[in-house]
Amino acid sequence: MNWDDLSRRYGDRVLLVARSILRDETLAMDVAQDALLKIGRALNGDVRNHEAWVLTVAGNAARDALRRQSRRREVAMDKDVVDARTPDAPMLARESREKVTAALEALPAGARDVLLLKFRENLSGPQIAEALGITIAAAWQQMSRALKLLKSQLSEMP
Amino acid sequence: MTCPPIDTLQRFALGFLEDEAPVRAHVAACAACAKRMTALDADHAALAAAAKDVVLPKLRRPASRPALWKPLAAAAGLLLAFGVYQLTATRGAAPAALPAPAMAVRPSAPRQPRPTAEESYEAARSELRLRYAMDSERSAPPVEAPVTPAPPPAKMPEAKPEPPAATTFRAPGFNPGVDTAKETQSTFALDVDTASYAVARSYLQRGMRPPPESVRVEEYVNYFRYGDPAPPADAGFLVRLEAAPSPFAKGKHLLRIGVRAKDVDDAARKDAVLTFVIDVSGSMQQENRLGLVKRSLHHLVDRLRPTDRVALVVYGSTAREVLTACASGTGGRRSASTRPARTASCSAPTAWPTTG
Repeated sequence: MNWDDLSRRYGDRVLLVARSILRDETLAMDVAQDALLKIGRALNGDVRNHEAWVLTVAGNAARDALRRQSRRREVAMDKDVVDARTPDAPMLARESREKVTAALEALPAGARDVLLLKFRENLSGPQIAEALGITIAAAWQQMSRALKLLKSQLSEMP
Repeated sequence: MTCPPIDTLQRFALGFLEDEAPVRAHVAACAACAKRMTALDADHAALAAAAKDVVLPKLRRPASRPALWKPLAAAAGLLLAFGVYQLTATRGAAPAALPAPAMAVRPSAPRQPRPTAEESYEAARSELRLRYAMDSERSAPPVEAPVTPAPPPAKMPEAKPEPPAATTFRAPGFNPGVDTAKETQSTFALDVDTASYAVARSYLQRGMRPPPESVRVEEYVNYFRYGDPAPPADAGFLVRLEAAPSPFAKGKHLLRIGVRAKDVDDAARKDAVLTFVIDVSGSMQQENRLGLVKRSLHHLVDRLRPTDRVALVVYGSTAREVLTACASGTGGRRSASTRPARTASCSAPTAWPTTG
């Protein structure tokens, strides 16, 4: 198994899936590393086109970790989501790329990572739902909430 | 013609709509919606461009398992695997603040045949059975006799005094043995939880046996200091191996791997920024829970330097920030020492969490 190939090819999306589910950067790093190791072992050097399967392995590993996490349950800080529906004119496209990146980075982990799965890893709706182990409708709720959060984040930025 | 809500259009644009055909048809026919789609696509393209610039942490290459030399090959391999898997598989959240060290211990002896995974697994199981047999009732069969196939739970004494407060343990189950010849790599978190040992001690002090599912081997092992030597000045870690014949089974060995990071004395350490997230739900309302937490925090704050920073968040049904990060020389220390009324800032005195 070549760790570098594996990590270059699947590292980001395995990490993003783990982070979306776990919402804990440190734990997600551990889980993603473990999942990637398992993926490498199973692929036995053959790292071609196993996208769907890789996402499933990563998702399962993260959900297992979540179940084991009973000693460390986390509660989200309350934050209001401003309902900033997209108007007829583009909004994000008017902002500078740097500002949108900064807004993305400032989002809470779950919201940011579900956006990255879509807009960075180019996963389809059904792929994201599958990886997160939820229905497409539930995946859309997360995505839609993340988009709203992003817009409210952008509007708060100077 | 009714236009679909913007939410539906966005679902359509992003591929989250299960039944796309009606929306597709509508957008083709409706100029207003076509315009909205163009705006959405522009936004999504901007987002995709920005998303590429988000920096993601790189996953580290996992540490190699040490290869094991001849006298230890059969037994220690599986014990090590057991230990390592205890660390990775049975605990969920292990905050590995430190990078996993690359442990590469290369013996000079030639490679010896190793047990297969099945043999390792069987050996591990019988070893554990033996241990349980020794731990459970005195009337249990002697060490040589095979015991029940599943891990038998050690029976609790019949007369039950008040059990220690935390009694929600779950048995993590047994990890299979791992053939270290086939699987040379593993990951584990370098944390040093020791709570399981304290739980056992608390049971024993009340004249009870700790429930088997409360026993986390690694936390027992971590509880004690082993006098491992500090690493040399130019190294971050020192790895030390110790092996001894197993007291639990003939012909088996136990291997302990100690990892010691370099010492940083109090004066040389960097300023700490500590955030305490404290459970103040009803279940914590006992002197040996929330009371203990408060006393511990007092002790801790007394040992901090004025330039360290402390923040306090409490949660029950919701989370609330009680103390924003402030220098322990100002609000942090003051609030800790005087326990004043509630607010949530550095300069003003701060409330200690109360339950509810």
